[in-house]
Amino acid sequence: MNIISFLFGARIKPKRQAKPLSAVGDELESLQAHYDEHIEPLTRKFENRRVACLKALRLRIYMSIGLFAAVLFICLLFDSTQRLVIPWPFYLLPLVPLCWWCSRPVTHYQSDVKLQVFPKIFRYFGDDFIFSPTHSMSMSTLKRSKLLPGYDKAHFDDYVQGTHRGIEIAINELALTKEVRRDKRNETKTVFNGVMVQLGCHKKFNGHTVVVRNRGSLMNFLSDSFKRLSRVKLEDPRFEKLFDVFSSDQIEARYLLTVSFMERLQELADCFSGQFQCAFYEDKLLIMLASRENRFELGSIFHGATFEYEFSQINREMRQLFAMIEVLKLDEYTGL
Amino acid sequence: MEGLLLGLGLLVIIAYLWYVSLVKKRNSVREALSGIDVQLKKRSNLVPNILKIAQKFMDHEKSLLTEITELRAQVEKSYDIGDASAVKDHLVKAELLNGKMGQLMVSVENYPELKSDNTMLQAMQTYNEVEAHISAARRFYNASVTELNNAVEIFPGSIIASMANIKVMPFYEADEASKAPVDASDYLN
Repeated sequence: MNIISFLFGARIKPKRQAKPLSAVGDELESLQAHYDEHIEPLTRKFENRRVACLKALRLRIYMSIGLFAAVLFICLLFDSTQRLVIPWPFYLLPLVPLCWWCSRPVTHYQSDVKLQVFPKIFRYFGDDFIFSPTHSMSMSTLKRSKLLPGYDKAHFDDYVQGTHRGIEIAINELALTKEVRRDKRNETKTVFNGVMVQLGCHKKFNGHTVVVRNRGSLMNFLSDSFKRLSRVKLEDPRFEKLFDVFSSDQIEARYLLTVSFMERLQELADCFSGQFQCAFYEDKLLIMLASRENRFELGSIFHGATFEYEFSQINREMRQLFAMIEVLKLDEYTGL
Repeated sequence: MEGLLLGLGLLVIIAYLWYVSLVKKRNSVREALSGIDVQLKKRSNLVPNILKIAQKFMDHEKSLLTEITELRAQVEKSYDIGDASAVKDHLVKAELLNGKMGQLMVSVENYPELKSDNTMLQAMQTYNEVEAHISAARRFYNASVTELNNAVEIFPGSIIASMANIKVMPFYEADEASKAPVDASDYLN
């Protein structure tokens, strides 16, 4: 079913089969075992909820179309007899509450899935893993990293926390927006959209070191974003071309950014097409990954509520994030 | 005449700015050197503890332990940070001590009792941590020295440096033993 056939009255029936689970290598077996034990028991209940939600959605859309047509007709009639000359955007105003009303069943269904199913999916990565669409990292802690660009509003989305290979990990989606004045109008500009990843670190440090994308010497000279931090010039010319490093402690910055660690950071930057910045502070490593992709999301409402697609997708996304711990070797006491 | 005065004035300003930059670079080297000394001091404080534990088990390594004690005393001696040869001598001794400590750590492998001693294990872990900091301090120092030496040796910086008595500084280099190629067959036989 798609949106067109849905609107034209296609029959809504429960689906018991969707895309099968998918995983790389021999992980499929454990994925299937976790699915059978924890997620599959929930699918029947949620499939019934999905069908009910689609039926309610269609009914509300039909009612909204009728209501809108009636309001439009009355307004036009009133306008032509009274000669009020109502501007055309006003005719569209009733659409706003109607759209909100129509989307309610879907948003309720989606938030219930996130509250009841997603925590069980995340348990696959460890018993201490929690998922919450409402919880968020502390904004003041993030601000202290000195990585955040200037912004007016911050909007957090899904939050995940747990331990992987003995390293504490917290992941939070974040969007930062800023009001800008353009052509005598105020516009909202997105200055950051992506994921913040906070990782524990075996190395102890007291200072503050940030690794940001190379901004050029002139920008570094003019900018005051890294007050009280001084520029750290490192030996690797390729790394220097990609990143600028600022730190409150020149020696500690080099203690953290060893030659091999620089190599690993470059590897990560290649994986995330350069949209990668990080900060070492308060005994943690904070990674800021800019990305347009909305992670940990539900598939289409028109697909059956088997959650196999969601499970496979979340597993793929989490593996990508866990790979950072492996690439950076944060779990090893190598001293490198 | 006015043009000449203006030119001279400009020249004086440029020379002064060049001088300021040279002094800043020299001070940066001194800062980096003091960073190394802080880390060397940490290592010096750690060495007696390691030696005390090692002495209990390592009867056959008496000469090595004595050498380490002597070198530690030499590294701890004060020196003139403005004198390039004194700095070089200090860094060479520090690196010699590093080499000898490395030898000691390898020798520990031959004493299973010592190797499994908890205090020794903890001391070795701390020692490795301090070594990582020394290595970082060395990278900072060498980076600062490269900047200073380039500024001092390249014309016209060389003239201003000689007038201001700013000299090139020595690099903190690895000792000869650690530069030597490793023959894996010596260890694998």
